[in-house]
Amino acid sequence: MKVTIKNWHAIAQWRWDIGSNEVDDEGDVCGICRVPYEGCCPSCKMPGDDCPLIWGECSHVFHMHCLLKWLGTAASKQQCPMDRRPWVTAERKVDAGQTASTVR
Amino acid sequence: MATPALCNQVAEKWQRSFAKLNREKEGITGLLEFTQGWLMASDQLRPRDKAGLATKPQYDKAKLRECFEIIRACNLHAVFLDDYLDAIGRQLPAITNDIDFYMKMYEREPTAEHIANLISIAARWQRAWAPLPEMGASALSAFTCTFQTHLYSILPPSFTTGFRDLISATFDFTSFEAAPQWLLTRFPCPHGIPRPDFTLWTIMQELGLIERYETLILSVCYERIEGHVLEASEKVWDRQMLQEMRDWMSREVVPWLTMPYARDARSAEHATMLMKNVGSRLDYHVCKTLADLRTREIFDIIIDYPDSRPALDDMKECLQRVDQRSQLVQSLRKANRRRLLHPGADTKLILTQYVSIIRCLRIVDPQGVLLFKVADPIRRYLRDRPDTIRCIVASLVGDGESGDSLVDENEPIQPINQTQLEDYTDPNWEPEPMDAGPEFRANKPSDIISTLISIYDSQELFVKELQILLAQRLLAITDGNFDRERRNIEILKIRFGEAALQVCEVMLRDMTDSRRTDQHIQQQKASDLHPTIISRHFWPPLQANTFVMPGQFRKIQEDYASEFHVFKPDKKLLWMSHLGSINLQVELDDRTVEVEVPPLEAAFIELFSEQDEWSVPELVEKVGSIERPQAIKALVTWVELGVLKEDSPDHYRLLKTAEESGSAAKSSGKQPTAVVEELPPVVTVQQQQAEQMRVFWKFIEGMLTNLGQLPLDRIQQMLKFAPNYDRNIDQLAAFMEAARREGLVTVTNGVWKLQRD
Amino acid sequence: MEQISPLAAARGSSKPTASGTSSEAAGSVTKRLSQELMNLMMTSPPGISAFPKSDANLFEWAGTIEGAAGTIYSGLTFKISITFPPNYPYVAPTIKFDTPCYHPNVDIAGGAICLDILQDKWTAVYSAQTVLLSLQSLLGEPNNASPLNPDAANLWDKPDEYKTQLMKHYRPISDDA
Repeated sequence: MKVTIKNWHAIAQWRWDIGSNEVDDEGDVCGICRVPYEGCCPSCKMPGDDCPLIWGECSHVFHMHCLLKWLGTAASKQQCPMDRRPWVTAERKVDAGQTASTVR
Repeated sequence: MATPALCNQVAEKWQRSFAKLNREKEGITGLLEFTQGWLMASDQLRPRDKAGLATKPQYDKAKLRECFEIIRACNLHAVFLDDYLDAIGRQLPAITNDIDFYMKMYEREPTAEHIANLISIAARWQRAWAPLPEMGASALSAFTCTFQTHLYSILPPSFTTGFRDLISATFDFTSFEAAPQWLLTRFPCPHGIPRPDFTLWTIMQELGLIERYETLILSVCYERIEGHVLEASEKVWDRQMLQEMRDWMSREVVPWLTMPYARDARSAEHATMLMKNVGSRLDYHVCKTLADLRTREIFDIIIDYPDSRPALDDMKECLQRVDQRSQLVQSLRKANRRRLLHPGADTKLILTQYVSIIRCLRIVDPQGVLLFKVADPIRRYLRDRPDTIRCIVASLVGDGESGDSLVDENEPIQPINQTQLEDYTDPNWEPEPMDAGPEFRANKPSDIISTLISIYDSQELFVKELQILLAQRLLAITDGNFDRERRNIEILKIRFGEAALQVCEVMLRDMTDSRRTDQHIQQQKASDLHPTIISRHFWPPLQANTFVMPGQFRKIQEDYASEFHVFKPDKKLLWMSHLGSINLQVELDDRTVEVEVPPLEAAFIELFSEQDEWSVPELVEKVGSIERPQAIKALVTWVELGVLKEDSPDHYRLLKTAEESGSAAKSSGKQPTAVVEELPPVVTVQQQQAEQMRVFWKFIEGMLTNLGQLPLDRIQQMLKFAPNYDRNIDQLAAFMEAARREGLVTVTNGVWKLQRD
Repeated sequence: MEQISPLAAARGSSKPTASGTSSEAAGSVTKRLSQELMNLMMTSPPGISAFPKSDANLFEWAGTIEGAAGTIYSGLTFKISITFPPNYPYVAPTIKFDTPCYHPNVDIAGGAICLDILQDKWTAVYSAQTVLLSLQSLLGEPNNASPLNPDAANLWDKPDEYKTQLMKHYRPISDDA
């Protein structure tokens, strides 16, 4: 007996690869705007590539626009708003062989 | 014993009288003349019975004139007349016999003929006893009055019925060929007269019957009109009947009515003038009859729309003549209550009928006052139905399956919140109709969709339903073609505004991006998997906990996800395995089954390719995250396709070779299951409400804590910070009262505060 | 859907016309404040509460702080006023005491508060709730190094006298807000 797939119309959600493997991470919001990461920041209309995330070396993650706006204020002193360490954007390693993208 | 004074008085009186009658003639010649004249005139005029009439002497006209002159000269004209009139009264029994005779004949055989004969006889009596023209016009009119008064006093009540029959019968005497014999013989007409009943009417006029029975004549006329209108127009809605009825009127009724009203017209213009008043009343009656009929039929006319459009045009015209607007409103409201607004009626049906009502009443009453009065109960009823919003929204986007949408694409699309202010510079401006209510101008959305949406106070509910509907549609698309949805959203953006539909924009963008992404990935590594990739917060809530696809399916998913991660290194994919559909080919020993199934079915069949027999618990465990009923449902699909068989309860086996199974194979699999998660039916309305109240209470507690004490209306105002707050102030008052009884709050003079322990 | 249209959020607030604020962003501050309000109502942390003063303006709140148990402020309730700037949360809200508060870091006359997170230590990830909680703990743990009320700072180590002063200035809240 053989099952052959002719066509598979599937539905999937895209998620930012933050590093957590939680399926239902409802609690994950950008600390600055309180909007979920997969949503868009208050000054954007479309989520995703148009409103990306930014990772800090301190491992804190924000919407890029939110963080840049924060860093643009004098009060920020160029510090991460979570831990007040000087902000350094992390290098994101792109590993083609990584299969951590499949989620159970 | 007479006194001398008395004797003198009498003598004086006698002398005066004598002088009067003698008129200064010689001796007593004057008196003799007078006496002769009086006797002659009396004799001429004396009303005689039949025998007397036969033997009546004929006096010379000139001589008679002289007699009357003498009488007049003696100033005894009036006395003479009185005598004469009294004599008529005494002689009446002569007529009575005749009248009784004919009435008896009528009672035995109620035909118009007998009444006509009676009339004929009475006229003859009248002519026989009439005074001569020499007596003067006032004598004639006094006579006529007295005679007819007596005549009517001896006519029995049944005469009225008979007369009515006669009038009704004359309606049909339209030509000499059609006339009955008795009419032609007894009431011959002069040459050149168009109708055979001309003479009959003339005689009736002589007897004063037309004037006396005018109301009856008209009522016969109305009866005829009503009969004809009903017969010709009942349930006939596909052409305009009003003009037909008016034509019939001028053809059939007006000629007949010239008999009583315009018989002695000298010309056509003269006739028209005489007929004007009654003609106007008749036209009114035609309009009224038709209006009454259509009012009774209005509910079915609306169902029949647009085929029944002519009937509505008629109605509009009738209502301009006849003020029946409130009857129409009542009739339609009653019919709606009885036939439309009840649990057995489908919401879609009520909506469709409501839309028809809107269209129809706008034809009849363009200003919309009638609609305004009729619509209110419907709107209230619809507001209470849970699926109204869904129906309206589905029709907003044109539900292809159910045929016509409620939307008339030709109507101009406008933003919903546009308020209509009075434009006094508009040359076509008119004041409100008299029967408009106070709210009339304030609530006047112009097109049908706005009218429907305005059933609810807020648009948010609609937007939300819209989003759900759009999501369902988009996720069901397998060929990547969503132009129709795109177009719908563009139209709806005009109505609801861009901001409200931002979510829909994102959904559509996801569709475009999915296609582009898939195209790219297919080039990197061809795959049969073509996913729609969605942005989770912009689509309705979908179950996140999904089961694992086994075997080749899993591999395909992992490969695709890998490629995706290369393409978009920041992102990863989360498969919603329970959604979507798979086009499969199952090769068995003796047959091949090609079918499109939901993913769970595919998962199961994959497992059956590894192993021939499975039990339900095993399958559930293997796949994970599913409930037993889901598993059973998926298995049943394969059983119906003749691929699996339930050998023993809960145990299923792959049918490598076909076996007879009860149900025939279905050609193609079921549609993908409903995608959007609804609130589980377990949560009752009461539970939802209770949960909501809990939230509202928190807000009330918060505001009272921080703002001190507040009156009820302030609390109501501040509660707009609470999401989905939709209670009115009376409901709030009840809730506060309940809270007070619980000891949570106290109230003084309408001001509420928290109870502090 | 969580990312619902700004319609829902835009109810019930006027947009402040500060310079440099696009109407979009102002709408988002409103949305943010609505969320914070909702959060505050539903979590009801003990001893703190806040609510907008008027239905027309979401940017002005009235708050309530109860002194924590075990501190000298225990049993007392203080009213505060919170004003959110148009570029919140990038700029801290301004808070002051409405109830006279005898405290080393509070100006007894005007109600101004010296709290680091309200000034230089503010970051965009803070919220009204964090501020209220900080304020509540400030009551029990003043920063005597930089006092707005030097007398109170000096008296802190003498609880009985401190309490007398505290109660002398303290006026319990009447319900006429």
